[in-house]
Amino acid sequence: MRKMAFAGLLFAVLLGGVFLGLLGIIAVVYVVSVYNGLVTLKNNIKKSWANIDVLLKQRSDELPKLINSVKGYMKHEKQLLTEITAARTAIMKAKTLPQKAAADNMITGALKSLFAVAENYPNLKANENFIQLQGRISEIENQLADRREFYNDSVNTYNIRIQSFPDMIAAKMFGFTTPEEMFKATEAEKKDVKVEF
Amino acid sequence: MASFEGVIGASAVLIGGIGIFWNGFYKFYKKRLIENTPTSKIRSIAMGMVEINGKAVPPQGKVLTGLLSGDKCVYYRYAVEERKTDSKGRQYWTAIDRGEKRAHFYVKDETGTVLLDPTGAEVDIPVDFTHTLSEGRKTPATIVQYMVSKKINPKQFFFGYRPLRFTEWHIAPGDNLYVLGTAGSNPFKTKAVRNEEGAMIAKGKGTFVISDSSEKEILGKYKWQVPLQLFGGAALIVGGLWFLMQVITFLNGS
Repeated sequence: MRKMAFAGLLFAVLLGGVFLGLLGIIAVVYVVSVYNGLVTLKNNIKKSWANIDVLLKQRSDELPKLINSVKGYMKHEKQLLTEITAARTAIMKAKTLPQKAAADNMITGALKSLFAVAENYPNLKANENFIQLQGRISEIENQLADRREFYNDSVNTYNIRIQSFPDMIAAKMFGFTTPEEMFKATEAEKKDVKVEF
Repeated sequence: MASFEGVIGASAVLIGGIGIFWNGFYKFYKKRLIENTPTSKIRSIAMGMVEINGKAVPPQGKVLTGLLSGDKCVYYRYAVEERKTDSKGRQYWTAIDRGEKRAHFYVKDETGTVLLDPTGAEVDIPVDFTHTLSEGRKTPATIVQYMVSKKINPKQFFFGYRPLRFTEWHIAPGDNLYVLGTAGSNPFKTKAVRNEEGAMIAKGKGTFVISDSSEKEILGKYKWQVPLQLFGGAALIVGGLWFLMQVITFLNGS
């Protein structure tokens, strides 16, 4: 009888151990997945930034061709063309994300003005080379807009993860504490970009 | 004999528990992956793991026809099952034929169109067509044609229909899709004019999911399934072990 009771107790302890073990497995897998998830998110941010950089470079490469194709027609828009050149220089020199974002905003704004002004020059509008460049730059601009949004989504997901419970516990354990910056230039940052002629 | 059945039953609970527990982990991993991957616009798709939303579009002149439904589609999967009765009089369905047809198709959103190779994808879609053979109910011509091609006799004992159930899942042109897969180079387009023309989504090293539910709906499903399967699986494992120990104790005692 005592032997049976002892066996019963042993079973109960064993089952309790198994149950706690399974809960332990769940906890360990959860922490590992939070860690791996944060590493993935960090890499996603880096990758999406690199994908923006590729397009910024492509657009910068197209700008001199665009200026060359329009300068013969737009002699009275020298100021606008200088702005584009200056913004291109600014983006090439930019090191940090806010600087790049500010210079990118400058180029986008200047290009919008250029394409709007081009409407006043029928000969330019009919120029094959200009049409091609305009199409190419507009396509890059659209892709840039999508990739900026994608980058900000990646940053947002990461920032929410490291600031929300219970993931923040594991995030703090592994040193993921600093929120990442969004691709958005503030007014102050825009002013900080010095344009040299 | 009863104790033998007990061992079988306990083992089944234990193995089932392990399976459910494991599946809970898999779903947890997938849920995290979906949450961690931002949605891309098709025109700016980059190489690597991507998540997109869009409508299914068949390549020109290459639309498929559902084997059982006869509906136009870009992908279909089917199952033909027969109702059986076990020794205790319980009824169950057993598959007598299963199959699927996958072919390349396009996914289109408001910004562009990208090619998709569904080979190796986990296709999560609801049933689109079902039919059970019965007296007084007209059998669709597509099913008659299927049975002729597979040499399946629909009659039993010279009269009456065999209890056969035909089910089809498909993706029709225009269906809204959620896709999580790997974007790589499009092998059919060496000179791409637009960015997305040069890409094709296919199975890479990671997960590949095609679903006609939205991301929110998929995550909503997993929200309950993951804890239920993890803790339910753990409880079943412990229950199965307890049951197994009871049977072993009983066998030792007798």
